[in-house]
Amino acid sequence: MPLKTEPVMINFGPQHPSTHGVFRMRITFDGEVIVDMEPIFGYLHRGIEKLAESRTYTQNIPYTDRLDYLASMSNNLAYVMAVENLAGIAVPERAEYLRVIMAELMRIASHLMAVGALLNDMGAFFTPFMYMFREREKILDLFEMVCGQRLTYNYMRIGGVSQDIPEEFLPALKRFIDEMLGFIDEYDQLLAENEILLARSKGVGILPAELAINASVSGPMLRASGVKWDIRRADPYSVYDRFDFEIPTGKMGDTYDRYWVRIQEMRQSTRVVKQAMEQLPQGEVRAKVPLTLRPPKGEAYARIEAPKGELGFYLVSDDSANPYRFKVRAPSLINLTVLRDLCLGWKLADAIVIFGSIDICLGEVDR
Amino acid sequence: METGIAISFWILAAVTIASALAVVLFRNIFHAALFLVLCFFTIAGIFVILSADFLAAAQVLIYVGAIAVLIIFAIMLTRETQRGSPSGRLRLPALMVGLLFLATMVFIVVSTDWQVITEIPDQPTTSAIAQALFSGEEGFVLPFEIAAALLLAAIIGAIVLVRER
Amino acid sequence: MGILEQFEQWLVNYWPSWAAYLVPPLVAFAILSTFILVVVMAFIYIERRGIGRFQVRLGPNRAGPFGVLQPVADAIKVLIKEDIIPAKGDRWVHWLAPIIAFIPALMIFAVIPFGHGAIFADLNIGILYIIAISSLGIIGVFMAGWGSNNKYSLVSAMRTVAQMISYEIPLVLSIIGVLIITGSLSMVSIVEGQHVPFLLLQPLGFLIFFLAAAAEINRTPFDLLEAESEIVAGYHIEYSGMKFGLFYLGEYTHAFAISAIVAILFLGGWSGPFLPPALWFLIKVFSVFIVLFWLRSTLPRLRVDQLMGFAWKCLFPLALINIFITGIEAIIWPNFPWQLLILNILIAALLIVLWSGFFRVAGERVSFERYGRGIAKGLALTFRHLFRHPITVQYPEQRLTPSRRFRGNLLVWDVERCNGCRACARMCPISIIDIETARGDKGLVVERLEIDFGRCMFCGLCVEACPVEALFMSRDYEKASYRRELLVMKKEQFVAAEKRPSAYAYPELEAEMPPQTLLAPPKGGR
Repeated sequence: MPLKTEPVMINFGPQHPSTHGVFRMRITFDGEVIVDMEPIFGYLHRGIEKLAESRTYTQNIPYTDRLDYLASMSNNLAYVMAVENLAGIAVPERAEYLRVIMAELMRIASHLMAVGALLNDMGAFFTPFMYMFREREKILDLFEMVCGQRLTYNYMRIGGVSQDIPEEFLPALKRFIDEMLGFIDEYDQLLAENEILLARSKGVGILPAELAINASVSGPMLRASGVKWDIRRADPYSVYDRFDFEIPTGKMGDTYDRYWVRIQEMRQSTRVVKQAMEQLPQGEVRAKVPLTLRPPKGEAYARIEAPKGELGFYLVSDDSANPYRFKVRAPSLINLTVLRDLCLGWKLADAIVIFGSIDICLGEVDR
Repeated sequence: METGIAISFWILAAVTIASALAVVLFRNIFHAALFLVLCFFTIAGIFVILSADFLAAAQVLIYVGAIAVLIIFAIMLTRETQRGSPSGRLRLPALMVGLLFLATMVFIVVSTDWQVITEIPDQPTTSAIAQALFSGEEGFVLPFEIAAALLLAAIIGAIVLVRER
Repeated sequence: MGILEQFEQWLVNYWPSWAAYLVPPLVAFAILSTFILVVVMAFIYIERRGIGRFQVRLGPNRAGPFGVLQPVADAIKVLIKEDIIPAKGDRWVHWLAPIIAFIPALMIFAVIPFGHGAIFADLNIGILYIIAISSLGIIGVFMAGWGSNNKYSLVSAMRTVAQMISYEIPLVLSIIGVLIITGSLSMVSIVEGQHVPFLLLQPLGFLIFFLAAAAEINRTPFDLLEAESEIVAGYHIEYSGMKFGLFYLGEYTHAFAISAIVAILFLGGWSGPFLPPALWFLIKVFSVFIVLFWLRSTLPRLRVDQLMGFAWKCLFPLALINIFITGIEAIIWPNFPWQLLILNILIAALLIVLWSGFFRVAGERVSFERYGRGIAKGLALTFRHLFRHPITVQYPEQRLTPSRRFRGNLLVWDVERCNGCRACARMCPISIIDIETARGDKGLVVERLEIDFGRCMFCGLCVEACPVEALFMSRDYEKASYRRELLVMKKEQFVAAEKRPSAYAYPELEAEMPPQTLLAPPKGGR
């Protein structure tokens, strides 16, 4: 006997505690099962790509801070790399190492935020979130020590970094790195075997490797699906080819794998930072580049492995002080496109968890 | 003491009847269901006055806590609760059956020779009820078990009916 | 004879009999309600402080000494807030819902004994009364869900109904084991019948009751009907002011009631050596509650189907088996010698192990094969955090030193050095530096300088662009105003301002500055 049911449509967001910003999902339910969902974004659109066309190359660096504001250093890095490619500027070696250290610390901080928020979405009452914020706080302290800010760093400069690290930075970094592995073990103890977490995340929102590749998904999401693709290895930039680290990959591509891959990546990042710290050479940190730069006519693309995936900047120069075109390949936006496929057939609570496991930053999605 | 009980009985009786009428007369069936809850609850109050404390608790637990809640649950899953049920062809037969039922009830109430208990009722009623139900000689163990089996069969039947595949 | 009857008999000598009959219950009711409110406030305070400690925070500590007046402050806030009724909601249902949700929680206390004879009414169906009354609360919850005319509320109300009906069954069945042993429904005789705490004699019953009770009062991991991250606040999303306050109060009153019932049924109620009985009772109640919020601060939330599955596939059959085993024991050893507890604990352990292998959540995908070891590990970790130093600081009194390169608000401008070249204004990405210069004796003189700190993003590029080292970032970080125009700094203000330059872009300034405060490593080791 077929029962006649009627779907219910519920609007999630733009004001909702678990949409990590001003994202909106229009979900159609049959009971509690999702039959259709429409992601709607654009509530945080600030027109940064257009604004950038009327700013000089250096002036644009603080704007890139505001794309993925949880990983400003990585944005800085990708952008200045694109400008350096455009203008053909060589970067001093010490600056490259500092960039790597900052980018990896940023990855740890961003993953801490991602995992903490994911568990909050799962209903843990802020405790994992607070524990992870504690370590993120230490990273922010380190960044503050180097560049004077805690969220929008504006640290990288075209041809290097804005200033050398202070002398107390390396001991503090060493202490942090030594502690960090222990704290990651603590997270494992708190969560990795928690039966409720397993029940909520294992097998939920499976992203098959094929779909992931076709949808151009990148970053931890792609690796959780079992694709061993990391730009730090596949297309090494900066000095990444000098470090020894592993690329953790998941097996099923479910929410648990995405969580697990992030935790493992934090471990690998501490390894990279440790090696970079040991190899850090002395010398200049900034090439002689004028603050108002006029690159020759042409175009350039630079991409890095940002915490959330492949972050690319595409720049076109028309021989003036401002870029003619400034385009961001935002990993958050592209990863978000698979949300509908992941959520169909799951329940309301799963949609929130799956969304959390994608780890987006609305600043980057809407730009 | 006596007057206190009398006063509370009349209040409870009035509320019972008023809420029962509200159940029938209200257009909004969600409100009707809420008055049904009130009705069940006041009946439990009458049981308390009769010193049938176990029955009162069972009344609240089963009728208010389970049956009424299920009714409201079903109402929540339907639309158009504000307008009430549409009129159908069965209106007249329903009225007839209702009147017939009312007549039967009134007849029984009037014709029965109600006994008035003079002694104070047993205090822990629980064990007395249990004795009456389950004791070896004059108990109702078999009917009780049959009823349980019947209910189980009904539950399984319902599950089989709505199960997909 | 209870305290209430003694009071009545004493009163009969002075007052007319009807007054002597009516007054003692009223007085007792007033005392009981006040006492409950005080305990509930203590609960709220302890939970907020306790969760703060679990999360290495300080927790609320402003109102009164150690923040003990925080619940009072909350209550005052809730009382004076605007009361909002949704325009398309069902007005009466919306209005009545919080009352109906709150009253049953209060009514439970009528049969809870706080000590010898310290009970409002020792009904001989005590525990049955509690179960019946506590099932009333859900009517209030789904009246709220319905009356709010909000889909989140409605989803929450449906979840509530499903959850309450499902968990009521194991809850009731798990009590039956206790009832078989004591042979009474009265709360007083249950306490008096406990020569050994039933926690030990009925370990399985205790676990089932505790979990089902946690679900009944919507504590994590069963707090689906509030589920902040999913349906925001669930049924009370459209409530504000005192009506929200009643829901909140009802929730904690219910938590108090459930903790008290656990203490009575399984922990021996008021009985205990040395200390006065009422104190023992409160100690037990508070320990149960502490375990409840310990769980809340550690565990994620289950999903709807997992929740239902847990009730029906796990708790329900185990509760039936528990009744069966207790019944057999009642036949073989009718007066339950204490040695039986060894056997019962063994049986409980065996059943839990069997069931965790047998019971699967979410189809075939995840099994609870590890007997809750992961949960236990997590609980141990949060417990250890209780003894760690909090990472938050008491802000205005206790300040952290920012970095020497801190890019704080309000630039430091050195009027002597500035040559009016406007490099800073040209560099500013958002063009908020407004400079007008005039020709003076020695080159350009700045006539007007205005910087809008309401828009400044402290990127520091102006400082880097300055060729004559006349502009510095500042190390201040407090600047607030109710009017935007007050955030626009003028030349005179820059000249007059106290100068606390930061070493940003001037590393040579770093030497004489105090070092940055870093987050201290956790005390007591990892």
